[in-house]
Amino acid sequence: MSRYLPALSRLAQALGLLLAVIVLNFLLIQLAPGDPVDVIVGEMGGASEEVIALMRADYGLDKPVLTQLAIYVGKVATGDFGYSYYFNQPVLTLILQRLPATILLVLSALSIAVLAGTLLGIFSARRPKGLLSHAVTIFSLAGYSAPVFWTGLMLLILFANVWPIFPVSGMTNIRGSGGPVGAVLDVAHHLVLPAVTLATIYIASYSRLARASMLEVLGADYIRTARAKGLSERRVVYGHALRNALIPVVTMVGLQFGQLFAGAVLVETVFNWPGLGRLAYESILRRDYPTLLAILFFSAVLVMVANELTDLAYRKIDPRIGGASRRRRRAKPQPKGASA
Amino acid sequence: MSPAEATRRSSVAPAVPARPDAPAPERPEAAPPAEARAAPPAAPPEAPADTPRPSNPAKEFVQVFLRNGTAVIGFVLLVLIAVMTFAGPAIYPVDPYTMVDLPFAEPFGPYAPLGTDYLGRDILAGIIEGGRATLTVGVTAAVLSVVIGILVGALAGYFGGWMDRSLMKVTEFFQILPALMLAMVLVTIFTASLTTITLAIGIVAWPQVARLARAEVMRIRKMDYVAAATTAGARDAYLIFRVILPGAMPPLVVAAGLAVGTAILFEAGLSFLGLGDPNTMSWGLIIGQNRNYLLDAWWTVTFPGLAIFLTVLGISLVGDGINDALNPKLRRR
Amino acid sequence: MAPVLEIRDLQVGVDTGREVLSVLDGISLSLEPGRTIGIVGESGCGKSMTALATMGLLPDRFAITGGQILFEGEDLASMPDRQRRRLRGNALSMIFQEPMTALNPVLTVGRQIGEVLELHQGLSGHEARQRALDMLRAVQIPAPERRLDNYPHELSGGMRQRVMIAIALACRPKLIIADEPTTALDVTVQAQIFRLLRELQGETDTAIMLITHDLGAVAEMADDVAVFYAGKCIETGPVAQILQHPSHPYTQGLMVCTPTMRLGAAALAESPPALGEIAGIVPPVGRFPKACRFAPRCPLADDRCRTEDPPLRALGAAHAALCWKAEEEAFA
Repeated sequence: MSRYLPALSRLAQALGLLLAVIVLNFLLIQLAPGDPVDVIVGEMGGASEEVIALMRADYGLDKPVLTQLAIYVGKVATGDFGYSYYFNQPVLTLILQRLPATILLVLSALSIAVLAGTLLGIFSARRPKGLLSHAVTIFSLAGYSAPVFWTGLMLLILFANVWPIFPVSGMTNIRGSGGPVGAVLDVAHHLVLPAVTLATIYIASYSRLARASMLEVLGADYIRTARAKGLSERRVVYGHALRNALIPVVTMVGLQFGQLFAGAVLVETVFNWPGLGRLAYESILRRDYPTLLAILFFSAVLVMVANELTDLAYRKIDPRIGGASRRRRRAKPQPKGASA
Repeated sequence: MSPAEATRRSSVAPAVPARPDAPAPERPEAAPPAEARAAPPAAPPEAPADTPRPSNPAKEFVQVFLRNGTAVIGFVLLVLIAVMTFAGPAIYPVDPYTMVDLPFAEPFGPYAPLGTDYLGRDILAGIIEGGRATLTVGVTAAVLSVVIGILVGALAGYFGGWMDRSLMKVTEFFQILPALMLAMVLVTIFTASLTTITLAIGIVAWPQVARLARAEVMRIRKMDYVAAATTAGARDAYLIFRVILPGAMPPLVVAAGLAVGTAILFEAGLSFLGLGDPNTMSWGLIIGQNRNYLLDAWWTVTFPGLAIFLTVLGISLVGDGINDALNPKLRRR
Repeated sequence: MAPVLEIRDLQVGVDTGREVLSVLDGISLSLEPGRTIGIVGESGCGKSMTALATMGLLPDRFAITGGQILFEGEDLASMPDRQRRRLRGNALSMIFQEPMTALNPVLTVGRQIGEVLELHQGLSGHEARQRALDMLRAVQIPAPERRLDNYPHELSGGMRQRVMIAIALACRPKLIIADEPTTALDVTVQAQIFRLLRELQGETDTAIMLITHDLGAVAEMADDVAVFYAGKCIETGPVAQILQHPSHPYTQGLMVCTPTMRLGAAALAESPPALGEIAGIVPPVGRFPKACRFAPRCPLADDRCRTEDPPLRALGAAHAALCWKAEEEAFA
């Protein structure tokens, strides 16, 4: 039993946070000008007084606020996020339709960023005064400073007008043909620009971080030990330094997942990528509150899942982290001496 | 240990507010560990190449800052942008809201140097006008988020215990909600205006400042001079605001500077999504309003975006410069 | 017997960007199989630099600028790096000062020991693991089977240093350089580590270069001693000779500062002439005095000491000191 206690307590904490998100959503609905029925009626283009009253009762809007909250929590718990009158679908259906596209985009961007960022960082750390090192520094500053949607727009202009080798809008070609393999290739082809755009800023960030962390690790005592063993420089770097240098990068990936997701909203809007972000943009335009709030809820869920996954990866990579310790905590040094 | 060094020490965890769509956190401590390898185990490293040190720390700070080429470039960039924004209307007196030429007039033309937008309005005038809103929102929202962050962080770090636990829970709560997403929802629900945008950005961007402030306060709280002040009978508020926080200021100042960049990017992102104040010209708004026509009129989105890019770049460069100048470990580079 | 290691007039410099400063100046040493030389001196005197130069692990901007390091007759200083790598960790290995940080935190103990065996002896992963287990037994780690899959943070400091020794000894080196191997450890653990090193040395006839600032450790471990000061070797000789009749005023000063050494061989001898604490501090690199580097702190220094380089004076079998005053003092 006690073995599962840490996991259980984390689960409880996660549920607590989710409950807090639901309460926040509820408060936002309460604070919004007009209640959900007004919005629906507006969408429907008007309704009679009796119908409105009936709908109010149906939504429980005539009950005390706390009861309404309980009803709301109950609904969310059963997967009922309301109905989108603009899209004419239950919100949950809508979100589940769009979720895979976003996850595909975010994971692709993340993979590109981690891979490219780490490699650039390592190469430049091996020659801290070299050309590449300076290039990485400049690129990381530029990458951080450019608004991601603007980067996307610039790439869009470039690839639409000047060098049309990648599609700049959507996820698939309308004339779908070529069977399952063709479909995958088609999606991959469409994925290139959005994923690269979203990855740019993170490549910048990770390369800078990996460079700093690699430089620090290369100065560590255990790297000198590795050299003293007669290992080649390549084995010293990839066999001994890399894993240690990756630890802060992994931490950062977990911490930034929320921002990555927010960045996806902008990138999806730029490239018409049919994911949650694009849905968020559309629901902002339509003032579709139930959809917007459900997206907020699901983004929180995604961030929490990502945090747990990072935590797992972190423990895998750093044996000093174990048991119930939370993310981004490093092991304390062991007491000196003790018995031999 | 200097405060700036402590920033580096405070692990690789973020010390600075994140931008809406991108990472910034590692920047203050990302400076490579300077002499990590070069430090000889036996020979005293400080021995050679000793230059006489100026005694005045402020003067020394300025000197170190000025020797940092990129930081000076950033500073010049910011000054130019500020001059353009606030003295621009006098130098280039074109009304950004009226038609000066045909829609989508190409840049470098006779009437509009940077071209016109879909309503035939002057892009350059728009950038000059929009800079005021963008910079104002950026600075105000950054101040707001830094104040919230410092308050939360200082209370959590100073009192510890249940106060720390509950405030950190709140912080964690705000961190699982993607900041830009929450700001989008807030602005959508409370209708877009400069005020709601500023408030929304301020409300979502504070958690990382709070974490930094907490770490700093916890570190300084343990120091002898704080213990001395406590023994002398200082009250909590006095200790927090007059004794501890001044010591925590240097990294927080850097964080605050970078928070301005973050807030500008937030504002741009919101405006781009159509959540800007439609009655006030801003850089993001120009991009958002013209983005449907960008394939025919690249200049309408390119130049305002460039303005955002250069501003945030300037802030980052200056922030890095300040950070390096505050960090004595890196001075000898 | 032919020496394993012979250092001849070694010069090491550091490039500050403006000039090259001398860190080691004319170091000469000789070490035979199965013997131990203790290198003593305060921090910054160049003893670690000598070790790192021998290993070919000098930090950035440090370089050998002259002299030879003959290892079994071959000059390490002029050897191409590839060739030197084949010796490193194999015939020539090093134990570092900080067992806390000298082991890679993300690799298991078994991996870190096995690695050298795979590299230098071409063992398979399985064989290397077996040999690693043998090594853990040899360094007397309790429950070695379990320890093989432990990470460094799961071990105590003493155990980590044993693992370091296991790594260093895995390929049966001809020479081990031990740089302050016990400084970070408890006194009781120190004694165990030294005993272990001596036992293993007895079995393998390995030569040991023991770098330390602790004369007690030297008395316990070493056959010969070399005393370093400000980048120079200022006195060398057999341990008993030096501890009983320190000739260089600096060596004499060191002894006074180290009461524990009297527990060793020197406890039997009459106490050395008292000099009190050595006044002043070790001059930093780049600010070494001209002539005799110890002169500014030396109670016996005269004008000659400040203007002319002191000669290396032989003071008996294998005993020599770099001092104008040595002779007079030694037999005074």
